[in-house]
Amino acid sequence: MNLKEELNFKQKITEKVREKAIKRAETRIMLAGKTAADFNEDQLEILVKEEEDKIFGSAKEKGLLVLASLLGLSLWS
Amino acid sequence: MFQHVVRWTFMITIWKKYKGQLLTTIGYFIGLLLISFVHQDYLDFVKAANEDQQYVATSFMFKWLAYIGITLVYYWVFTRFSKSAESADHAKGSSLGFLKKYARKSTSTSNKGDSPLSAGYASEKQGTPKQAPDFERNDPFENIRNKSKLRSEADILLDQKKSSDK
Repeated sequence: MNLKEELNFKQKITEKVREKAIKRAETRIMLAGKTAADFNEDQLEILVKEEEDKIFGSAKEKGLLVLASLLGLSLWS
Repeated sequence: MFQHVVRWTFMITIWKKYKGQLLTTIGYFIGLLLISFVHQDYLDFVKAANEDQQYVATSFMFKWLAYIGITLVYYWVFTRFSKSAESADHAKGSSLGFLKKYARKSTSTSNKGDSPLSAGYASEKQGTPKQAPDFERNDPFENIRNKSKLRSEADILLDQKKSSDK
């Protein structure tokens, strides 16, 4: 693996988010009393996509909150 | 008060998550500082004692070799920490632990096993040759994991409409 690949943060973040979304989708499936094998690939893709969008949405919200608290609460003083 | 709570929560979270990397980085900077101090001391000594200055150039070479060496060691240790953390995350996250648990529960509560998962466990129970359940053999999320971009329900509907129009 070369340095360029190792420093590909965007890809790493995307992979991590995808893994988290899959984990959440598994939880949703389990809570519904079903298994992943009960769904076809398109349905699973929709589920994972929904979870991924939620993760990105909450990350944006948290980022704004952190920024606000950094500015408003003078964290580093 | 609130400010302190936020500050400490933030710091503790960062520390817990990146303890290895932070310690490595601190160690790296301390190492760099030590090397430069030792070298500076040597230069001062040569100057003060009016020693022969033939080794000054060599000392600079050693200093830079030490810098490069310590940087390589730092890079190796840092990537090792990152990889171990990543593999631990992956082992925790990619397994279908939840589903496994669920399948076990369902076989213990009812013997009706029409799903492939429960069928796998039922066959195991009956003493037939051990066969891994479907989700262990084929990860249903494998293709999704490798896709660069996922499609939403609307995208899939549009794709289906386009293919039916053609």
